[in-house]
Amino acid sequence: MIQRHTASESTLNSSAATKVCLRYGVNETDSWWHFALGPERERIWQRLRAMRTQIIRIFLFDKGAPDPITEWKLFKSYVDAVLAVGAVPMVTFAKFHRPLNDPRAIRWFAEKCGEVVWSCLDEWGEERVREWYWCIWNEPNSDWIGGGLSFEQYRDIYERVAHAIVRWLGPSLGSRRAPIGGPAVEGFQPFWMDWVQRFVDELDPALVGFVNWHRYADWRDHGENGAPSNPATHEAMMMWQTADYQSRARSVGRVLPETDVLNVCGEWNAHSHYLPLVRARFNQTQFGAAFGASALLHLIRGGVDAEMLWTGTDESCGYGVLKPNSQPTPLYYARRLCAQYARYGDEIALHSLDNNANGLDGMLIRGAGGRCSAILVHREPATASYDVAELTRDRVPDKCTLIKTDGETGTAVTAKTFDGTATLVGYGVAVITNVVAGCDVESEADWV
Amino acid sequence: MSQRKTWSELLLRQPAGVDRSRLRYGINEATGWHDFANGSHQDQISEYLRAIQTQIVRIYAFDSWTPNPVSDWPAFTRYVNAVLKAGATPMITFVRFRPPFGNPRMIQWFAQRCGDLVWSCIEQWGGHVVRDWYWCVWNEPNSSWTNPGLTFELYHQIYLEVAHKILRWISPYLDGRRVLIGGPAIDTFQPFWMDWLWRFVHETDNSLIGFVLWHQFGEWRAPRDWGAPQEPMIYRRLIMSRTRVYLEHVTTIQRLIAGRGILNICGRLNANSHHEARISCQLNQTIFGAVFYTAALIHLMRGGADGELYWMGSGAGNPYGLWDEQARPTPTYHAKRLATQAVRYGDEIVIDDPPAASRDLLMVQTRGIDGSRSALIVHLSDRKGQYCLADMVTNPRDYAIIRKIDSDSPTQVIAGPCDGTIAYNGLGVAIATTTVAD
Repeated sequence: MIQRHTASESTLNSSAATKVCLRYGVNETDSWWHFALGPERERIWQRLRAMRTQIIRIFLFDKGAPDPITEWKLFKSYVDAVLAVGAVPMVTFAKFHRPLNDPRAIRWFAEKCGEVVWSCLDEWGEERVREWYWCIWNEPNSDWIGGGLSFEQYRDIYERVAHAIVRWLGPSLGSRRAPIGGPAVEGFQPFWMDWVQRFVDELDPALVGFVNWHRYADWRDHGENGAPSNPATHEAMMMWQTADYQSRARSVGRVLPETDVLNVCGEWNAHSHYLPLVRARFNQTQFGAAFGASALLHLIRGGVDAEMLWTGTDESCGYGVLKPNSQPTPLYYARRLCAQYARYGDEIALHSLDNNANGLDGMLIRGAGGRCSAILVHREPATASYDVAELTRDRVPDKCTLIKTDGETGTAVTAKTFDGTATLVGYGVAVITNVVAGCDVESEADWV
Repeated sequence: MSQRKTWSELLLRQPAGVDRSRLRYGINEATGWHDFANGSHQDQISEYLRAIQTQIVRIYAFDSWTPNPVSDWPAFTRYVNAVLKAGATPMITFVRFRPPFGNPRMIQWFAQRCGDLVWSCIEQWGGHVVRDWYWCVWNEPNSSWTNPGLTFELYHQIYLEVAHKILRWISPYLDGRRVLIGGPAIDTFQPFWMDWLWRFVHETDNSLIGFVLWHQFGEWRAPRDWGAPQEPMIYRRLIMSRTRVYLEHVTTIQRLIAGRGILNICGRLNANSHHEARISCQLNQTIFGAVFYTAALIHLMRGGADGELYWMGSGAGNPYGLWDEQARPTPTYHAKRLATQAVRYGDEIVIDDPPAASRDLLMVQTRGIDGSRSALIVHLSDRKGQYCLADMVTNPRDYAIIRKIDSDSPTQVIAGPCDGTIAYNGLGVAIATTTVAD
């Protein structure tokens, strides 16, 4: 299980994190079969490893996931795929479909969840399973997704399920905090923060290991429900809101007790429109790549402990960074750049780069072995060239490589010797670094 | 049930900083305008407004509950004169016209009406006075309750038409000053409210925006309604935890308007906007409301807000006012008076994290241009608490006087010499000052 940074290291008591405490992750849900059993699964796992994926959130009892009671073999393959990536699962007991106020239904659900934990211990052993995360329910505050529970209803369910999990998992935990969490709260709903506050205040601290919150920038198409009809305006407005990831991260971090309860952004992406084609225009384009990279930088600044992109593998869902044949989207490369050059434990040398324009977001990172990298996110559709020495106050070392993905590279990254200037054609992400990661050295053909 | 965190623990833990307070204090005078302008206690109200350093009073035109400047100019004149008598500047809000909003003739007619009002004001009070006034175009255009069907595009069209009409009359008097026209007086309970501000700032010529106005209340629901907690303690604790939202909103809006010379004003604030007195009175007009408001003020100062306009001044029996129809002040009035005594516009301020032992406190220290120093200290816990000043402020021995209200004395300010400690009986607001004068 990951450990939460102490207050002095993270942003709980300071204006900005001094180290990267972000673990990278993805959700593997609707297209789980391609991820677990599809013919290109091993390439998918390879690509997830290249994104330094440490946590993979999987769903039970929703999203067409295999039923662990009746389809144990399928469920096992789902979990094994996570382990094959080298990640740990966050098993989400998404919902039940019986009356929410019926105590028998709650007891039945809790027992079902407990049996999954017991079965996992039996299958994979306590050494492994005690590292896993268990998320109780998904978006309980949303009528659409989670059934629109009251907090009181959710609290009852959470306590029941958490006790059922602890019953089996407890003996293997020792002094560790139970890696159980919720409420996986939907961030578009008014008063969403009340759920986080009450979750922390009203539940037994021994049953809370992480707080999970979700955030998308928008769910409306151009012109829909008050959104700007001009695409450029809509995109610019969404892009401006990536800073909201930082502010929400801080809001959540502030209410967490000063213990090792983790602050987890459990679902995020640019857009969550109800039609895949619409959201794909935002999520699976260069716009989505720049949005995602900027969101990641803000999550790092906000001191978040883990993020889980919605989603990893995707068959026509309009979210994922990998198609069933493992073909990446632009966001895949943007994420990979962030994950490779802003690693857990790295020092944040500059939280932002000296630039007066809103069009650029960036950070300077120092890592192990003298690695020094400037990450630049160009957040505008126009082409721009940046004097990196000026942006970083001359803190980028000599003999660097420029790696980038933008309108010029297409869905790929290119690497070349850095000449002092980074030019980005349209939305894009660039890294200037003195230590190039293996995946960026290897031939493009292998990766595209 | 697990151990609960106190309100203060939820509110505090924030970075320290030194700055100058840019916060202009103000209020709204709306439904209680008659008491404010014509009532038997108007002189008393005027004194109250001066005592709480009121610099801006937001008043309303073209709405159902305030005098119509077209048909009842004398009443409107009294409304404005009451503002001037209090030594404040009016912010005149051109509230609305009735739907349909997209009719070009209606927009022209409304803009013309607004322009006529500006012209009339110049005639009445003189251009060199009126040029410093604020003009707010519309009220909560994003609220489907009050303005169903009003889109940003239509609002923007209305704004531009009105702004040009205002400029037509006021331009000759500006002498290089920026015209103080603003909007959109946004309701921040609405989803995507930030879109309106973003577009307002990005799609409007900078020279036509003097300020952006936004509204924020702690709550609008009654306990148990619309997902609100039923249990009173939880309900109140959640509301109190939301004072932090003022800092978040100010900071976000500062980022939006950075470098544009636009003022950032919280145009309405209070603990609860619920229309029923039985719900909101006990939250707004009690020591709870006093503490909520003072905490919000500290967050607004810290975020660099340029103004705040409390909702509202004269209550006339409603659950929002700083005083009732008999001009009897509420605890919130006394809290604002203490806050404005401690922190004046332009004062150097330090808002620091309290020591670990004082997590029930929220505090700002100030140094005035005359060198006097004060500390405004809000007690956020409903428990009793006693605190050592030396743990919280620099040079504690310099402080001569402590004034406070708390749950034991919510409407009576207790003053006494400073003995180095501050004690609260539950929720409270106190100031420690180096000067004896009130």
